[in-house]
Amino acid sequence: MNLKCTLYGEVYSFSSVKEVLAKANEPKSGDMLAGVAASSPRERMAAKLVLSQLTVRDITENPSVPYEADEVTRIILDDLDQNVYSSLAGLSIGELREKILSYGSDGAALLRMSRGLSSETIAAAAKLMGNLDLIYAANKIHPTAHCCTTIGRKGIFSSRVQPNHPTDSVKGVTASLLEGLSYASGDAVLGLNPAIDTVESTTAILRLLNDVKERYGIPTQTCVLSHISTQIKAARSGAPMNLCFQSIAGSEKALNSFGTSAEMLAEGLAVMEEYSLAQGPDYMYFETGQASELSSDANFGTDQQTMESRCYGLARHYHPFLVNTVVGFMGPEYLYDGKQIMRAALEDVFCGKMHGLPMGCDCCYTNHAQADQNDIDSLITVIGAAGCCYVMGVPSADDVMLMYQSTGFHDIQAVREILGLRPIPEFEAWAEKLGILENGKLGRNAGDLTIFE
Amino acid sequence: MKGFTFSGQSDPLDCNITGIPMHEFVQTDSPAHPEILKELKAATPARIGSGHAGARYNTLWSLRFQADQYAAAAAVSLECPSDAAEKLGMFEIQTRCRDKYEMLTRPDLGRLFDGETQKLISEKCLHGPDVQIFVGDGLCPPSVMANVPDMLPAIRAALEYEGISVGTPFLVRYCRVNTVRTVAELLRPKVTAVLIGERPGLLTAKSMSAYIAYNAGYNMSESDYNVVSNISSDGMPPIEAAAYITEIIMAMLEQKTSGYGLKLS
Amino acid sequence: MDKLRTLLSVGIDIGTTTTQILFTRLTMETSGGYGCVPKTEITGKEIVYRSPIYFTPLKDDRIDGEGTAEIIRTEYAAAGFSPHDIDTGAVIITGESARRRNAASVISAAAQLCGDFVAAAAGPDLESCLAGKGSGCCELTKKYEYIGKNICNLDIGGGTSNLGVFCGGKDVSAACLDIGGRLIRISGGLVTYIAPKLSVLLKKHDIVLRPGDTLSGDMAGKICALLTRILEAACGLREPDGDLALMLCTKALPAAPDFFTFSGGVADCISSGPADFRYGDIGVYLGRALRRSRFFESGRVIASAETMRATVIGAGSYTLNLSGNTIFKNNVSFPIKSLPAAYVSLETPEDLENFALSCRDSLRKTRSLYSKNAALAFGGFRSPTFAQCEQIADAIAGNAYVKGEELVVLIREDWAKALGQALLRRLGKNAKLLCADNLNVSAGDFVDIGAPVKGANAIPVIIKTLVFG
Repeated sequence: MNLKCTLYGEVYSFSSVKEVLAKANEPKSGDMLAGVAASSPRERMAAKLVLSQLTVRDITENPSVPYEADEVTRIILDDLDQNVYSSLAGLSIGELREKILSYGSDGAALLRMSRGLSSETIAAAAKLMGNLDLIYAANKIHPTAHCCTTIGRKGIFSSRVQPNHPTDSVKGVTASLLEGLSYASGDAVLGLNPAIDTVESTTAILRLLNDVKERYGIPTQTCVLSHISTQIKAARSGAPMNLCFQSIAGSEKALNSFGTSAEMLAEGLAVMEEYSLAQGPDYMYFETGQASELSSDANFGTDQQTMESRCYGLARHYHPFLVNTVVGFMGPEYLYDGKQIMRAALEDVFCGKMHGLPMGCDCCYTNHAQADQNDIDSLITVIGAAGCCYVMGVPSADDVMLMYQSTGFHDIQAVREILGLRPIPEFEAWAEKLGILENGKLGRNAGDLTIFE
Repeated sequence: MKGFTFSGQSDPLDCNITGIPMHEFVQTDSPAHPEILKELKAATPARIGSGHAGARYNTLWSLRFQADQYAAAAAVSLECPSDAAEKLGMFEIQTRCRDKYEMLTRPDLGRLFDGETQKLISEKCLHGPDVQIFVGDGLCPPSVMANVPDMLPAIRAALEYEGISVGTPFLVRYCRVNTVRTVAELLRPKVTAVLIGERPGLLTAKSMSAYIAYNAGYNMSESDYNVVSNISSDGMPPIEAAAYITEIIMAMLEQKTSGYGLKLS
Repeated sequence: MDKLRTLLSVGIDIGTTTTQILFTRLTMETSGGYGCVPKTEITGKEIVYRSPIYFTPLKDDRIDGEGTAEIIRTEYAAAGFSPHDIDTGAVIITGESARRRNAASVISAAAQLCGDFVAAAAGPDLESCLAGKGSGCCELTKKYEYIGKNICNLDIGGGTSNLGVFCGGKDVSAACLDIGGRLIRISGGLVTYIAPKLSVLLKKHDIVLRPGDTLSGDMAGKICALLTRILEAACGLREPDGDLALMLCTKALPAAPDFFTFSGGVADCISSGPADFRYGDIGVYLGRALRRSRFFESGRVIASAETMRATVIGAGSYTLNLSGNTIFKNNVSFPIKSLPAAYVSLETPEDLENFALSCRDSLRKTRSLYSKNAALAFGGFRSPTFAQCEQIADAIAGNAYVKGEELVVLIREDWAKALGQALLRRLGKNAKLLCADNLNVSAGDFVDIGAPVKGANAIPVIIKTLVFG
């Protein structure tokens, strides 16, 4: 394993695979804060060069957190298909990148290949890719999952209605929910981030979402994104649930700081298999975001993009229905500006899909980041081109509970029209029936939330 | 260009568009049931009832969003006015962040002071008071002058009436919440509290939080803080927040603890 | 995070015809996220005991106080509770009973018998409101399918019909008519009683009916069709006329509701068809007439969760208010009972100018009117500055405080703790002082104030309206 190279007439040497991975990463303020970033663009280039010659085996055998010390590492490595891995182990990361991009590898081939690739390996390939490489590769892969409907098919661009309210007022949530539905948003899930994390409140909102779904016959899923332990209790006490949500992170320690563990995620899945009203078999919904490990001091000297990829390795163990990165939520300490946010979003969507996940993206920013809505307009368009499975639908892109800006119902429809994408077919038929959509465009009743009686 | 319906105002140049309450800002095209729309608008501060031009927003709708977002982003990047400390009757210091950029990207530096500043704090401030309160710009400098002039005198008056000694207040520029730990190590108060600007949203760009801890210091954990958030004339009124903070401080002094273990009834 | 506490509440409804008692267990929950001030709310209402339905004991023209007391004692024993077990509740006197001469003294005595913190209440608007809440009508208007819709509950009892209109979980208007199932009473096939107002109405329509006459089914149907038309007019389903004016005992509803629910004894006669004069009155006919009325055209009627017991459920479960959690109390002993409220205008900073004087005048008036201490109440001013709060405190301390008496201040907006601390600094630690917020008290109301809810700071407050017919 060679961790040295000559570039610009200088010799660069690195002490570990982890250091190479970190320094090969595109610039992120979070890696600087963690003290793992390349000290100069030259050093970054040297790291990329070294990385291109490391093999799949080198990366796989050097996980970011030791196997013995971390359940996430154990899940990632134990889940690898050894036959597929053996056939790829000798490839250099540079060769792996070309194999992913080549005409020879279609979506199905990439999904087969995925089973032999560890999360660090997939992250490594992403580090050698430019933004268009990431878009090109991600766009080829179509991982699907089924809960009440099927997400992830080619040509489908879905969305979650996120009807958040500062105090979880049922009427306030209803207001945003109906506005979203009136713009044909919500085919991925009707999903609320609760302000109050109690079983009672979770159950009340689940009932509301389920009532609306049943009353108007909407072919979609519902979810309240409270803590998994709250949802497990709600499910067992009879709350109407389709999906079980949890925020996850790329190390056992970070997972614990979220008050959860691999065991609890497995419990969540088992509870859903017993109690979910949905057909399944995919019942989990995970959210991730670069640098959540660093913010809980659980990154083990690893860069944030590699840690993020490990989230997907953990996620695929539970064959989720939805996974999305909340890319710009953590703030400028971790992704400084619109450029870093876009880079991270593309890395995440590629890595997620390369793990076989129906990957979504919350294209978003906080008001202390160097970004504005124009950055998000560009990002959602690009992410649509990358074959991202779903995005968020927030009324006019402003979340009044989490106090950040995401994407709005109009943005989703605009991207669908521009790129020739559509909602999930059953949902589209429902929206056409109500005059919300007409031939794929906003119809006569679009935007009128009072058509629901 | 489409106007907005509920407010009765029509000229976009005269009506101060960011000042129109969100529940009056509606552009839905001929809704089937206007009365339902009105009631739903009143139920949430979310931007519903938007209407559309093709698959895009109407012009005024889009301008209102941009204007609100600009105000929020600007609030972050604004500096606390140079005479703010003087107006509040306190002195001003700065963390190890040299500028706004470091403030935003180096939370680790935003809680530390250089040697000279530490000396200044040590010289100018009462040591070992029952309560040390200071003010930080945080992610929303405009929140300082909007709330502190009502909060601090209220807290001081109530604490001093109870015979509790209140330390020398100061204003910290480029301040992060965990400056509390550093200040506590320097002045050794029983209770340390920071009144600090919170990350602005599009609804309010003047909100403040208070982070309060008993026996704070480098070794405390995040869960040792008691937090009062959403303090603004649109949220929890500053004087009521001050009264609540006073009670939290008194409970901490009595129970000699803070965080989840603190009993507040 | 969730701190649960339960309260045992009693509700008693002494109506024109029937008297009922009901015990409810109210669950209160305090929630609060990171950084949020905790909020205490009533989250559950479970009925733990329902009494049988008694005829209201009458003696001559009055309510039989001893008979009422006997019912209360019997039912407490049957339910297995003693008055000491009861945390809260209300005795409400409704319909024609509220107009009997000894109404006030009977319910005061009944309330005292029921427990320390049980309020006595009366008034046609309050009745309409409680019946609508107890029937489930108010809850219905919170559902998304009824957003923006006015739903009117018609509680039709023996002597009166109480109309309560709700929208979005709030009561918006009310009205009361002298229409009920027992306006005519029949015994052994002969008319024994005709309500005086009904006689006037019948005369107007050239219908001759006197005590001692036989009442045919046809005639009963005809009279009830007439009464139903008046109810339709009261609800905007028909043009108002002189008949409506005659039978109304309050103002009419300001606007026509969108949907209707029915409660009260007559509601049970709408769907089921008991024998014609089963109850010795015209209730069954009135129910049938309603079934054929305009109310039941085009899907305007929604089924009620409760019919016969709506008012008593309302009295038992919906009379309790909880204050905000940031309140201020010093040397106060609970409960504070039947404190009249002196309302002062303090809605804008401009009101500050006359605030001191209005405090003094309003309190003086209220105190002398009832010869007892009074609470100061105001609302509308959202967020005073520190200086304004000091000024308000000066005004109250200087004009409203009587040494040795409890100073009680009730505010609608959220700044009671701030005002309380400012008042304490002026009045000293020996002062008896209570400032509570999140309470909507109007002029003429009385309040009962209980001890703080365990595990939270909110205090339970019953805001009573006492208007006798």
